[in-house]
Amino acid sequence: METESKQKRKGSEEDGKIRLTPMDPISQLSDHLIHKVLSFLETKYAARTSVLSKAWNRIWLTFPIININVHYNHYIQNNHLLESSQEEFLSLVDESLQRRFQENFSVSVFSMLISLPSLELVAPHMDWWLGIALERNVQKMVLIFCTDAHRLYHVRVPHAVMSATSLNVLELQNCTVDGNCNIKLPQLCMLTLRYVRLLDEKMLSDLSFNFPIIEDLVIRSSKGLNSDIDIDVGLAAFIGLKVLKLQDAMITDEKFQNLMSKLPCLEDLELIWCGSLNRIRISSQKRPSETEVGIL
Amino acid sequence: MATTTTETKMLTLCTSDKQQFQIEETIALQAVTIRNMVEDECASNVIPLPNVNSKIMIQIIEYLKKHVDSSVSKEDMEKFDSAFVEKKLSEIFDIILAANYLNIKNLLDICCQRVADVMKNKSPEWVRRTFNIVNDFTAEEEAKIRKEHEWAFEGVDED
Repeated sequence: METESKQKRKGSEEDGKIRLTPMDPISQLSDHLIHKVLSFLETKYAARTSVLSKAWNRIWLTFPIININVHYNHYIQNNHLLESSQEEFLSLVDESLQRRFQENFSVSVFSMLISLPSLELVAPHMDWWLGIALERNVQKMVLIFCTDAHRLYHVRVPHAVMSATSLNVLELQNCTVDGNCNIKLPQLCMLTLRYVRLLDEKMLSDLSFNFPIIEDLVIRSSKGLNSDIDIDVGLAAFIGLKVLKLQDAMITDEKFQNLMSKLPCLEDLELIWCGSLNRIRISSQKRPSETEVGIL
Repeated sequence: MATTTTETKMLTLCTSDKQQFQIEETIALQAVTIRNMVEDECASNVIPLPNVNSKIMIQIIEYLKKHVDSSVSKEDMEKFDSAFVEKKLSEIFDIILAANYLNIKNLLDICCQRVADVMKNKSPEWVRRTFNIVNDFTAEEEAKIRKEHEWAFEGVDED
């Protein structure tokens, strides 16, 4: 103990403050905990750790979080989208993933943000990236697309995503879920839909009847094939729901009240721009402090 | 479990260096590992925590005592958290190990975040010096990996 603390006290002086030099974190923390530290860094900072030492390189190669951000600002020059530099970037991502996924290990989080006017170039790469994550039993998936306003809901969510049996968290933004995909999400606990169009209007109610363990549901500015989503019918079977956030949802007072009576576990409710609501009554069996009500 | 007394129920935690800490059960139960031990009734009055020493336990109790208090506002809690992690890195590593073992999610998160913040935007040389990491790559090996990760090295802070 004594010698160890003496060793640790051999500090160096930086930024005018005395810093006590710790040991290499890798010698103290497990891979899992180092991965946890890396999860708080942006991908490029996390990737930098691969040059620190052989042990750190191995840690990076087995890092179970994939975070891909393709933003068209990266390839714009004089208002022209540079296809060549876009291709270059996409192959960089491919190579990086290929190196990382030589070893057999699981992917816990797959997060992808694509902000491009057209998905033409990115689509084949995207399918491959998603394939890696799905093959490796990804638990959390975030797919965010930003395209031109007039192409809202332009991107179709690959069918395989909707039957990813290992998923417990799914977040979709600005895309369309096809009507004929076979939904199989038995582990799903958290679902977030932002600007999502559900071509099968029964999708939510099917999901809630077949896989009712969802506890956290966020639906913002989403709609069905031709009309608004029937919130009251769609959500009534999510009996375990604890968190519900709705934005831009069309629901009448009566239907809302009816829905509330079917969700006894609700602890956190947020309603934004639900214009057809006039007056609602919220009662809770839980202590008031555990029930949050916010209407904007 | 069968006793229903109104007085505050206490638990005794015994650290690796055989120090005993008496704390309120509600405070201790925030640690999922302790909660499981109590629920499974596999712990008697004294809960042994062979992976945590008393020095770290004192700090963890300080954290748990603050976080059990529901009257503390969100901002104040964040202030407390950011002050709490202002410690030597070697100490932070010890708290990470203990928080992981005791399964206290938020404590683990804020400590991992603290380590990540130190590494953010810094050159590999700086990180090696700060964390005492021995570079066991040959110059060629390092150059190759750097080349592969060129995209990650844009915008490094001055050391």
